[in-house]
Amino acid sequence: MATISDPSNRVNTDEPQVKAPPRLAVGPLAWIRNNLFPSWMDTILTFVAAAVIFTVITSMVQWVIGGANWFIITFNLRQYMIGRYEPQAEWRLQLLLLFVAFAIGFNLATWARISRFLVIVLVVLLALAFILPPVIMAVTSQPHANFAASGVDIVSGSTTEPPQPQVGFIGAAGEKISIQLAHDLAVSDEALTGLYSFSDISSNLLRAAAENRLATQARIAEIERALAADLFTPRQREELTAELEGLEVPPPVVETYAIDQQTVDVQILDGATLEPLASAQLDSSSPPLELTLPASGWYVLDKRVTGDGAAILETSGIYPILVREFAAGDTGESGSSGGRVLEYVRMTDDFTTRAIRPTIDGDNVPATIIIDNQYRGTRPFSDYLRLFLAPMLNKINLALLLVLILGAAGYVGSQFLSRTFAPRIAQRVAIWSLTAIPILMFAMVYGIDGDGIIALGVWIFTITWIAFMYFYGMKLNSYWAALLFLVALGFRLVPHLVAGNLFAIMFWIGIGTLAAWLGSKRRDSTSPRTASLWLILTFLIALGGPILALFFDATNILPLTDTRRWGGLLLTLLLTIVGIAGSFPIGILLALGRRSSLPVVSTFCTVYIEFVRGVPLITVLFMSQLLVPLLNPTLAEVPNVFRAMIGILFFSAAYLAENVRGGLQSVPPGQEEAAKALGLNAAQVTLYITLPQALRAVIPALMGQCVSLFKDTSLVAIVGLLDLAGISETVVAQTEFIGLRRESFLFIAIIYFAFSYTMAYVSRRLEETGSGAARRI
Amino acid sequence: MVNANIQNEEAIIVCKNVCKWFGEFQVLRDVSVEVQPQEVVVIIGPSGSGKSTFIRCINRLEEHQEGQIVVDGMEMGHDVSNIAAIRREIGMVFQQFNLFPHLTVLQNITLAPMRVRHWSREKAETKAMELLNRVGIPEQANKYPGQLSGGQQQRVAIARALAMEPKIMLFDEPTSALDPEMIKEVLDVMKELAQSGMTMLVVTHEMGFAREVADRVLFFDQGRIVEQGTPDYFFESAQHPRTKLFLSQIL
Repeated sequence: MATISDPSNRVNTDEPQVKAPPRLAVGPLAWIRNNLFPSWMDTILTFVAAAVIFTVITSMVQWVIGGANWFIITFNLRQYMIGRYEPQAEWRLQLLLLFVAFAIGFNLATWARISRFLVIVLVVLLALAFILPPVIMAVTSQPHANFAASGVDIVSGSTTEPPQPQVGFIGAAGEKISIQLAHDLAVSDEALTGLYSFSDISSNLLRAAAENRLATQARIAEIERALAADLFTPRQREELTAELEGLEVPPPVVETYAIDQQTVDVQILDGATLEPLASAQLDSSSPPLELTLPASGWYVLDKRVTGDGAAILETSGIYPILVREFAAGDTGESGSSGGRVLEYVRMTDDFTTRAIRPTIDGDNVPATIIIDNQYRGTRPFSDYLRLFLAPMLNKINLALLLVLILGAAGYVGSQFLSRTFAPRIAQRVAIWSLTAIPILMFAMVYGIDGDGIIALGVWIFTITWIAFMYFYGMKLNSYWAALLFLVALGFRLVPHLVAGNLFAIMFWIGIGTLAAWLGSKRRDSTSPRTASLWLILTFLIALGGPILALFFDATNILPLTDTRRWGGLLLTLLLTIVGIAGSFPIGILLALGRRSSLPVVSTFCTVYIEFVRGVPLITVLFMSQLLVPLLNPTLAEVPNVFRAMIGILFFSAAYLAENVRGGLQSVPPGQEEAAKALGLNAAQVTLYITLPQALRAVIPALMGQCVSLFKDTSLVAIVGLLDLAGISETVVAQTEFIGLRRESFLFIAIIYFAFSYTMAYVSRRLEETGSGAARRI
Repeated sequence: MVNANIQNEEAIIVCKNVCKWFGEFQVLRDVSVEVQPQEVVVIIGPSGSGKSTFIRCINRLEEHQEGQIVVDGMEMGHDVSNIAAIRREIGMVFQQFNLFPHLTVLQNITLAPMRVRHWSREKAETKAMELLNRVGIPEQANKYPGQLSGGQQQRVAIARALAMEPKIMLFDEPTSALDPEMIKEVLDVMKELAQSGMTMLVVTHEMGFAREVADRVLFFDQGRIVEQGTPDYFFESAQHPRTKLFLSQIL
């Protein structure tokens, strides 16, 4: 036997101490080292990326705060959200939103846990949405508007603007108006170019003229500097010299128009009577003219320069307005008949009046219409807060609060159910609430009419009848069950008997017999008690509809809405959710069908899938709009939206089928064998074993498909539906908001991103935790 | 029991001249076996000899093409309801466990009794806990298979098969995918099961287990039964040269 002295046999007795890792191996420092600067190449990339991100973000923020005109969003928010959906049915959407919030909260609690951080962030955001608007109102000063008064035409380049002595504006009772000369602007042309705020065409022309002069001066100086440096070929010199000769410095604006050199007679007139309410002769040193408006309605600002120059008035309390036209009696939308009513809305705060616009000698007084009184110049941050952020927050904060409360209620509700009963109960409720969303959404958005309820009732009776035959089959063992059976059969058959529709009678009796036969083949039937409960439940549901229809005027419960008025985010979400909810069962059936051992089934499914995958969505949409009505003219009566919806649904199903098939192939064959060996039949094996595993394996692909479906719905704009992208186009086409495409696109991009990212995030969480955990053996 | 040529009226599994082909290749050649109730039959043989295919034919995971298989008086044919009825009476344990990874241990065990036998949840769960106690891992009931060791998973698989209260248990190399340290815990469960009187067909390479527990040992080679007998006969005085060669290589 070898001894311990043999060098190859040894016992290791020394135990090295457990040490902390080196400082640079853990913590944020290590993260920075490993991720940002691991090598010189990465260091360069880090700096380049940082520079690019910085540039993009700063210029973006500058534009968002200083340049962009967000009135297009605050003013058209309703259109962006729900299109031209009927205002009297809007409560349904609100109710639906609250239900969805509740369901989401419930599901979150059932399948996952919310981190404390997220809760704090949400609560803080909500609190800010309520606190910020009043704070902004208190801290920032009112924005002002500039109006030029002139005795001569104002010229800038090729544009000439004659003086406008009067301008009409609207105001509410008790508001303060103040008017003074804008001394700061009149100092020099440079100061004039710094003009910012709402300004009328004339004052903006003055600013443009000053800018033009400064730009020309700068160009001349640049060319002269370049020529002096002598860096050019003779030909380039020639061109530059020619350009120099062509340039002519316009006369200085401030001096030409003698801005601030003369007195201005200012009057504020009542809009209806044209009685002067206040007047003053303003010069550069006089105190501002102030007036508290006696009533809500129209007023006229009358401004005249005594001399031959121009002056710029700086006012506060006079803001641009937007004109809306209504049919008399209508509350929300322009109709076709009846008289017209004009409504005037102040852009800064939604103050609205229907007072008659003032006229002088039969002509409308020019008013502070938004088109002529845009915000010019670089906007200071305080104006951004006051004009855009505060109104926007005011519009959405209440909705946010309600949504979060309902979400929290759902969250607490699920935890209560889990604790009081069992997690299983909460899970069941969660799944039902999710399933209910698409159905409820459709019913709420579209409505239900009396015929629909009765048809639904008849169908539920039919299902009850078939279920009855299946559960009880040949073994009629209770009188009341027999009674239910006869009632259900009668309900299904009597209309056909009355109509003498032999085929339908045969068909339904056939179905019943089939169900009875299948039921009789069941070895271990469901307990009679369970079956009875189900029967009673279905009967109650089935009876509910017709009874409601009998006792109430069913058409008034949820009247059908006009599908042509659906739009905006509502339509986008409707198309997406119906598309996803509908394509799931169809896609799964197609995937199973393609793997079927029956050649007819698998060939049909394969051909369908490959055909649909081979054509673009746009083709499918056009087909649903143009070709389908040709096949059967009655189909042309189906609203456009539904045809697009069905097109999207069948399109998406083909892709989904391929994803699911991939998942089915990833399930090891041993799973099916084990399930079969336990005695499960083919349907049970698919339902309980292969399908759940297959779907879990392809969650990323499925969610990716949901996201792309969500974005692809924007294609319906091409067939005339106004989804989020489509409504954006119509919004920017309004004359008041012309040229604001960027704002609109940025806004819908943010909405698209918010939803897509949420879906992607949910998918990631599903993969990591909860029911989607990858539990491999 | 030793002499398989004697026809026994009470045999629970009767196989007569079972043949099966994979394409042109014949995997089973006239296999004829009868298994009595409560008998433990161990099947050994080199890989590719058809022993797994044979026991998979008994619950129709593979379809035999000639011959006759009768289980508990029911003929295995194309009648779907017969196949379902036979599968209800036969439990099977696989080399790769084949637990359902998306279900907890308890759900793995209760699924088939609830869906196939239509037991109530309470009854199925009581039975499942009883079985988990029997295989020694009641504390794992609410874990997922992925969280268990190989030996524990195989014991769950045995409990899952037993939950259907089968008359016959098939084991297809139940310990081949296990670490050596875990083989014993599974074999102990199988021994206990054999002692309790379960009819078992076991394909295995565990000669110790065969010698200790088997009533009869079948030796398969090239799709047929080359030799069979009691463990004592088989391991001490096997006659066929192929058997001798096999034993000399593994013992």
